[in-house]
Amino acid sequence: MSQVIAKQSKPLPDAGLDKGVEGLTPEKIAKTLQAMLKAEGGARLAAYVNTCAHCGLCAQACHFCLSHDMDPAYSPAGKVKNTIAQVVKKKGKVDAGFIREAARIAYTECNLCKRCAMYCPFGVDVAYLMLVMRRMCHKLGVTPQYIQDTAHSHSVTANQMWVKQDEWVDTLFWQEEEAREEFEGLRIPLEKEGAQIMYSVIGPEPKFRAQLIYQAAALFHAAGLDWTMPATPGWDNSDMAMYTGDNEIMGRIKRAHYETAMRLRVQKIVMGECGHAFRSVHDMGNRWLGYKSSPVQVVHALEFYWELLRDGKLKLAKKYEKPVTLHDPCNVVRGRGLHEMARDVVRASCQTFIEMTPNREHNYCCAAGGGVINCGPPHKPTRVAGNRVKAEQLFRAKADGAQVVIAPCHNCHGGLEDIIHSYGLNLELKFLGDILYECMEKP
Amino acid sequence: MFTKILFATSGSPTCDNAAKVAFELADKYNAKLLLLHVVGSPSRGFSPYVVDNRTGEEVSYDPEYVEWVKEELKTTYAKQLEKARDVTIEARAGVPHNEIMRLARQEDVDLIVVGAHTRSEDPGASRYRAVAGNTMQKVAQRARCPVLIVNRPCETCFWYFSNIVFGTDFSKAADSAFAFAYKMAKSIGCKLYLFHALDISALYAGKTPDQGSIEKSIKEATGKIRAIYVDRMEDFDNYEIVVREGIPYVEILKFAREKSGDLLVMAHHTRDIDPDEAELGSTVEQVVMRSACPVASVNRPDKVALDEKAG
Repeated sequence: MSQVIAKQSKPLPDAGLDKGVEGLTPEKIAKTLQAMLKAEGGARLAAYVNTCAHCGLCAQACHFCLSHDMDPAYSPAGKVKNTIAQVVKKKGKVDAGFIREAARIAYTECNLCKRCAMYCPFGVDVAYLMLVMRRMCHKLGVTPQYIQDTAHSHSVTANQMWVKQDEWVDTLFWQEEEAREEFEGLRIPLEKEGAQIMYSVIGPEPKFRAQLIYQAAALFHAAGLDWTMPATPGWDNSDMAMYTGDNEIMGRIKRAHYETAMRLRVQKIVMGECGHAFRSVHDMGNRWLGYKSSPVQVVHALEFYWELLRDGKLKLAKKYEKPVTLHDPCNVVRGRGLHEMARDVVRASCQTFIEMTPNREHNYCCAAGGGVINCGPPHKPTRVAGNRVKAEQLFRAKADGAQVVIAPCHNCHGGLEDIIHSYGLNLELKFLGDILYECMEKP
Repeated sequence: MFTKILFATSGSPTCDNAAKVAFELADKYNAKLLLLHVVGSPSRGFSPYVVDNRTGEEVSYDPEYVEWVKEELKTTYAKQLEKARDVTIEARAGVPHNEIMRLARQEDVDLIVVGAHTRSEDPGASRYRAVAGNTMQKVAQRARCPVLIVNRPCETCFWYFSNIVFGTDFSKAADSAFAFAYKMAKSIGCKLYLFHALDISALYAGKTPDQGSIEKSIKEATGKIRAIYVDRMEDFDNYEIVVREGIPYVEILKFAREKSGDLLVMAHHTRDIDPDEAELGSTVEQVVMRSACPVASVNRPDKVALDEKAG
């Protein structure tokens, strides 16, 4: 295995963080944070912060901590202690240097993967605490530049990538055209009111991975489903505002998403292989808007594939030959419990399935999620060095024979790609949809 | 023959040979030339920075930068632009093959011209191969119009070509390639070789075919070429049918060299091999990397179909 990148001795430069703290005064910080504590720092925050007994069980759970030889600064409890706990303790009276450091920790050294929450004897949800810290930083205008840009795009266009409306529609036409060559009569139905399913994707798909829309269309076509895609804003289910702490924009874009589904009068939203979008649509955005659950049934790709196979709607012509292993994305596994369904689909479509260890809800994070990869290149060393344990886990799976890692999540793909390259693991990465498309019976 | 030509360029010397052909073709056929440079690939998620496809450096992607890149391209192609009539320079960020396909589709172009890298001693070669080599293959596979891949200096101007080699495997896609080869030969007024290579590696895996059966197959293939293609050429008689046996892409390259072929036309099957997976295995890359002359990849009838009268 290649050399691990050394721990950064001083904070990495980030235009958003560096510029952001420049104009901060202690008065401004105290005023903003106190207002925040009053408005949103309820019993939940107090209970979590005050209950932590510093027992250290969470340290064993965190990939950052494990990858840094159990350095307590990287343990979830340590990260809480260095960020939000101080804000609570000092009632918001912290300085700009503290905010810069707290932002760095909250945005780039925690993936909000909630593995630690599972091991905490008191059930302290560290992801929630880090999000509160992020929200405070957001309120102070101290957010990493890259992810802030993405939030701007959400705000302006209701999608993540500044995709223009005509570009979006044209991309669907284009993929339909290409797919019709392989599948006679295939359609990507746009704006079909009353269709059973609305299929939604994340912004990067039309922009960079149009092939994924093609593949999804192939599955819908082969299964003979009644589906549609929206031609209006609201088609993008992704949400980086959720991760900057900009809940207002999160709410706005989730509302647009639900309302698009309602306008099309669909029975459910099926979404592509994206984890954070699922968290946003199914867990956070809905609650922010006051829905206990999502107002329209939301089905993640993993569950959707599983249903297709269970109901015999999708038939496989062959099994994928190379030995595969499966990475369990936090948002759909710890967040939704889709791990067994994912395994059923993998076993049905692949000849050899090798588990990586730990797995299922105990799987290590990709270190890209929680918006960390979206903080951009300045912070790549942090998440690569901070996930040696993932490289080791993948290496063991490879030693057991795996050649392909299936990661049913966009962020995980990005993160694992960097881990695989940086540590020289030479493993192939696939979406589960890639496998199904390759192995399906093509009508 | 062509009214709109898309020239996709990395703006580096590796594309100089392709540039020469693209500008000449646009000039000859009075076609509109779209010059596209994909400046860089953004990281995941939107950001104001992109990784420059050519240098691998991170650059700030904003209107100013795009303008600067366009100016650079104007300088690079200053000589050609002086004489060119109708050229639009386009620079944008994205995954190169996607953006090329997107623009080709939007503008409904008749031909895409791309360069291909061959020599590893060129600066930035490995990076270029990773980005442009893959781009070339993906574009060749997916384009609806012919894709002309130029990797070595093409000294002869297109319309002075004297030998066009059309390689066929009798597939449906090869029909389109034939239409293009024939149209070119007719329009230029040069010789057209209708070539087929009997694939003895695949056909007789494990056992050696005897000469008799090879000769029989060659005879059959010759008849097939006659039946499928010759009838469609009406009065055009400057052609020759040649069938050889061996490994198809090797044979076609050998033949093109033997006949001093100026242009090689063939179909590359659309989705047989994922270019990401094929290291050096795909025929497109094998042929393009080794070919001494430009290679036209034609897979679909959209832009080349022989209509009744054109015949």
